[in-house]
Amino acid sequence: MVEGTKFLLNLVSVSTSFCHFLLMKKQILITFLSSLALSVGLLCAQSPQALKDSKIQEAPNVKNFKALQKLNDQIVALSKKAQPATVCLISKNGRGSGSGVVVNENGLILTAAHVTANMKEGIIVIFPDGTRKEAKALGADYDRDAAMAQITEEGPYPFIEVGQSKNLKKNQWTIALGHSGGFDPMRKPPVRLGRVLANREFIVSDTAVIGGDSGGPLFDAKGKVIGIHSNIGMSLMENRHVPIEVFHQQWNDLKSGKESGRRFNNAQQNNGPKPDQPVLGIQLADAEGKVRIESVVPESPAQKAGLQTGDLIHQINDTKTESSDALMKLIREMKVGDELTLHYHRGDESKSTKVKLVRFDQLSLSDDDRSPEESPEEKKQQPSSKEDQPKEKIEDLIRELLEKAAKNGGRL
Amino acid sequence: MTPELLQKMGGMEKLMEELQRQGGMSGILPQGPDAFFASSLKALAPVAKKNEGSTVIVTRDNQMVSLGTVISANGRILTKNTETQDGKISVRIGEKSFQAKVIKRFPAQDLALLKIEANGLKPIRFQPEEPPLGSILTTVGAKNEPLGIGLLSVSGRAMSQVGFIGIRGGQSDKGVLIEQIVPKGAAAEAGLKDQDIITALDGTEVRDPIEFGNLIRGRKAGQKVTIDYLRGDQTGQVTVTLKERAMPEHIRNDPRIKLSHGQLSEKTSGYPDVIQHDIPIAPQLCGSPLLDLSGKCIGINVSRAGRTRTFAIPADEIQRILKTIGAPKKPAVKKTNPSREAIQAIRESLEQIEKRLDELERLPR
Repeated sequence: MVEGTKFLLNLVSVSTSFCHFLLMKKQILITFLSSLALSVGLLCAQSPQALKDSKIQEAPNVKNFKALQKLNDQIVALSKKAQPATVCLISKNGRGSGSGVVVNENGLILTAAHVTANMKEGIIVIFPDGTRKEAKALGADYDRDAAMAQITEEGPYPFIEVGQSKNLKKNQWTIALGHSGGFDPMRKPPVRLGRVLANREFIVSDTAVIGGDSGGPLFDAKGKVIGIHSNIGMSLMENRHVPIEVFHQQWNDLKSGKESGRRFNNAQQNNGPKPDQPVLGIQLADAEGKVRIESVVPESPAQKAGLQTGDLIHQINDTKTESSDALMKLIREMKVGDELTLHYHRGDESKSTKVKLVRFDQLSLSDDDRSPEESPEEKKQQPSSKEDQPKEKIEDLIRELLEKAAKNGGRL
Repeated sequence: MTPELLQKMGGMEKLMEELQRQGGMSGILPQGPDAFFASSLKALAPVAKKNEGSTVIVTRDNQMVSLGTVISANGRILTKNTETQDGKISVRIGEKSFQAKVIKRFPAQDLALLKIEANGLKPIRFQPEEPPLGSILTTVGAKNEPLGIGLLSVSGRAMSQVGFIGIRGGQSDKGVLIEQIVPKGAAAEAGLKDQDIITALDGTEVRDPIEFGNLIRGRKAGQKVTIDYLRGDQTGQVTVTLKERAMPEHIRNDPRIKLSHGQLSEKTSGYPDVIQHDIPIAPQLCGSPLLDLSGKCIGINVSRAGRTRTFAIPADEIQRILKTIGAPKKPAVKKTNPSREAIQAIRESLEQIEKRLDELERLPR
């Protein structure tokens, strides 16, 4: 759980809002932004204003140590039951992964709409023990970010019950599971603690979630599913979950495959830059009819041309660039290797420079430009083959061999 | 939060200013003291009480760099390794400051064992048996205050320790061309440069960059390899110590990463045995004991590694590495002279394993 005074430590270095950051995802010219949000639905969807008038009852404070012991037992029991039912969803076309939770023995899965939006060609479901099953996307409400999927192979499967989210109280304990950073054969989906902070369009909690958790379950202390991870806000304390009520209201529609809404449908949107896309190596934001450089990728053509954070671009060749979208569009229409003249303001100075476009994957050692959640041991697992599994066993084998060798004085 | 930290961050005013800048948060997110959070920490008091005096402040040149955990009454303290590499290391207990001697470093666990001239300290009690998944955990600061509440998120596990050389390889008819070198990466630290051509790895000729990559990934971080290279017409040879893949600094320091993940520790991966939990502590508060509700120490915090996770070295692993101090190396290695057949058998098995690993690395992702 994140909170108060201790939490402040983490906020200090912060300067840009996450919403802002995600807006920029649409116009990425550099690499790591795309990898930060794995199944990226981490859109900033809810205006903070809407949260302010949240009327919600408050749960009583924690009474004493005994209350924590009781909570401890509840969470241990819940973890044991919920973890096997917390699955990773991978699209068959290799475009992203997310999480989901199995809610009946036939393999019905609740997840987020932005997770299944890219999975129309079929889904591979991976259980925490490594078991893989085929599934298909059912219905989705893209406005509320709620969706269902169905395992197409016959069950029974481990599952967990759904609860209610109507009467959640502020400060009520919440427990999150999900495949943070994608499926990892070396690690089961992490269990995390937090509490409800608001319950409006989304449940807002400080139960920390990250890319890859999208679609995973949020539980109450009794072990019932009360929400599905959707998106995160600008601080560690803003984690948003689709209230389970949204699913209850549309249960039959979602189950029968009905699709509605569009806000979280990222299938049609830009899914991040392609490797061969022409880029400059800068990150942009709109600034009153001009385009402000938010950051410059080291070693990129932009940096070599002398561009700096804070420069305001107003024209490329003969075309005025009044917004980052316009600038992006212009660049997209060019080719790798094209040289363009970029006109910009730095303070009171008017400047121009020539920049040659490079391929997106030439920008840097893109493999290293990962978010922390994607550090090597939690590498995003692409759908490949079942051969991914033996990895663990081989490590065991090595250990076994070495132990054996040590015991037998080197004899195997 | 300690006054030192607050000061380091520019004082309370700066802190509040920063919070104000987070515009929309005001409506829902607690500002200032939060009764509920305070009540949960207060409920943890019995756990903290059992460990009074076992957490200390570790300073480098009088700056607080981490916390430390007392493991013996006569002044042995475990703390972070990365944060105590240089400078004058001291331990602060209450008002007193003690000069500390580094007895041993455990780089793989990112721990360092310190010794101070003190007696009658209160050592932590280790609980080598891991509590069940989802158990409530806390960690305490130097004033015996609980620093937060969280859960055992992932049981003890080994992390990947694959070695990286830190280049992007390209095709060349003479060998593997270094198209781009990672600043401060393993290759760069060994003196290799952009446009050098790698001709051999441990004496074996290399040509194909993919093949080369596979050979490198078959080795662990920390392992040394010998590289022959061409720079223009000059040939050369260097020894490269492979590294873990690290997050480049410009990314770690990116404000947006800091925003969504908080402040992170330097070493966030490659631990041979690690517990994952979700108490969000600042990197400077690592080195502290991780406690379950029974009040026993189940590990020592070593890394704030992301938005959702903090890593701790489990108690059994700590007991294991502490046993290596002063003790002779493993008898099997020291004494026995395995027969030539046995050595051959091991070698063949290891080759088999390496081959399997190589095959796995080559699978389409």
